[in-house]
Amino acid sequence: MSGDVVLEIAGLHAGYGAVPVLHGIDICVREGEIVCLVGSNGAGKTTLLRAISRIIPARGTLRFNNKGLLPLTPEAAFDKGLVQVPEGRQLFGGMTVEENLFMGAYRRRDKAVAQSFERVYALFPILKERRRQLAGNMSGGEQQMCAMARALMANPRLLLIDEMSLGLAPVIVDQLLVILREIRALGVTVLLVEQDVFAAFDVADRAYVMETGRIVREGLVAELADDHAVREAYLGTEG
Amino acid sequence: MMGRWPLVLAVLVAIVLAGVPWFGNDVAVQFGINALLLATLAQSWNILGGFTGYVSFGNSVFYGLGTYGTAVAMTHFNLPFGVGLVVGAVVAMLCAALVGIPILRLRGPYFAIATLGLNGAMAAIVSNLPIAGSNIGLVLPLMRGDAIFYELALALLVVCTLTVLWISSSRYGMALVAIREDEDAAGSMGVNATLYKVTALVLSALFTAIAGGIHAYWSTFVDPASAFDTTLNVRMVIMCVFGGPGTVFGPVVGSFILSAVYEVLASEISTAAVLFFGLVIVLAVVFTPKGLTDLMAGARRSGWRYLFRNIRENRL
Repeated sequence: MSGDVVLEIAGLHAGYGAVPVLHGIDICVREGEIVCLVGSNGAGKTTLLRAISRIIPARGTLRFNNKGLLPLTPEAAFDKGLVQVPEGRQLFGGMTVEENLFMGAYRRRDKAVAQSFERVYALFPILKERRRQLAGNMSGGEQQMCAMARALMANPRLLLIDEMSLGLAPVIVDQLLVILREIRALGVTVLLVEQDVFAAFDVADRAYVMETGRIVREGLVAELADDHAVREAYLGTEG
Repeated sequence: MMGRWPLVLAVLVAIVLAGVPWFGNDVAVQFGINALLLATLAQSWNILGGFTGYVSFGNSVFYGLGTYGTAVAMTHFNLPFGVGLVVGAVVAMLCAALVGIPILRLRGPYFAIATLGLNGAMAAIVSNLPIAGSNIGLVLPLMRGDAIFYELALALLVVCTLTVLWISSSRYGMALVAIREDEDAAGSMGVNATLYKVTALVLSALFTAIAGGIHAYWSTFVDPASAFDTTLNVRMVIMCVFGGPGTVFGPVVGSFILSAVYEVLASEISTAAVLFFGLVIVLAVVFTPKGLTDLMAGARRSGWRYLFRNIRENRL
């Protein structure tokens, strides 16, 4: 489980206008890993994802496959294989599931788009059944699946998932966690940002804990789950 | 998405319409020119408004630039009509690009308000340009032959509709619809939203300006008040939305029907025509808020109940 470093973040600072949010973040994601980033509301998780996707300016070290990301536009970062599943899904509600998936492959110029459709339909059989249905008319879980499938259509090397479990029933979250492992088995590295620490620790190899713009804990999930402070703050169970 | 029969029907209708100058009378031809030009305006508006959802009130500016471009080229430089049309179209497209790049960053009502200001600004500028006849206007050389203008207007509508047909089945059009559905998500899928919106506005300006140029030569007179007229833009919006925004034939059908309704009302009850025209539009918004094309699909699915379901769903 220790492949090449895919994403390397060191001393990253970012914020909105004059308001700093991230105060020197260090994170490293290796090939084939599922890494989770947990923390409460306002810790800066989504800001970090926006900085990685090049939507907001940042300074420090930000490298993807050993190439600097900071000078790139969001489109160029996307073309390099850095694809985000946004918080709240952001599906094209008035378009069919199939059209949503097609939009994921919009920037691709290769001929293998049909194979990608096969691949995501194999991962999410329900989407194949619903491919002619409007994405906005589906349940929350199906919409989350559609958002993940759409991101996979872009052939990502690193999938950034923001709040996958938000507003979903526990049974649906469990299904998504199983699918996340299958996605990793396909050779896609995953950085999962979650408030649901139980779900995140269930699927991830390593975890980073974030508080007010800083990484306060990091390590293997098994170690962190035994950490007293983490247990108290995030798992709600003493000793 | 679309079956074969609407296309076949559209070709048949176009052929019949092309024959109107041979077997119709003068009144029918003159009504036809107006109706065809209005349908072109509604269809052009559809390119940006229908597909990306950006409600523009600046299209009447492109119309005005088309009329003035043609008029100035023909009266001051003695250029032929065809060259005048090109001049008007190029000026309007440049204006669309220059104005679009800054204001297409605004969304929703903010974009609409920004475009609304353009008409007044442009009318004021043109009123003070001696080359454009200041606030008196320009008189174009007279050409008799309504049949030629009719066929020109029809050809323009056909080309404009073919363009929309291509858009609706292309990658380009899918990106425009994605922008309408969720612009941020479209951006995160790597769609350069600004580029797509600006090109849609420029394409819209092209057809709008040519329609303006044809109308200018046909009516032989242009003046600032009628060239940069916001009510004309409102009619484009109403006709497009009445027919079905974001569809291929909706705006054309919508504007034909509304033009005919208005013509009948104007000849039957003259003074109160505008009042009844308003009533038709209110009823249309209440019963078929998504346009005639949605009415046809909805009626096939659930019959007359479709009309009342709209009232319930839209909480009217």
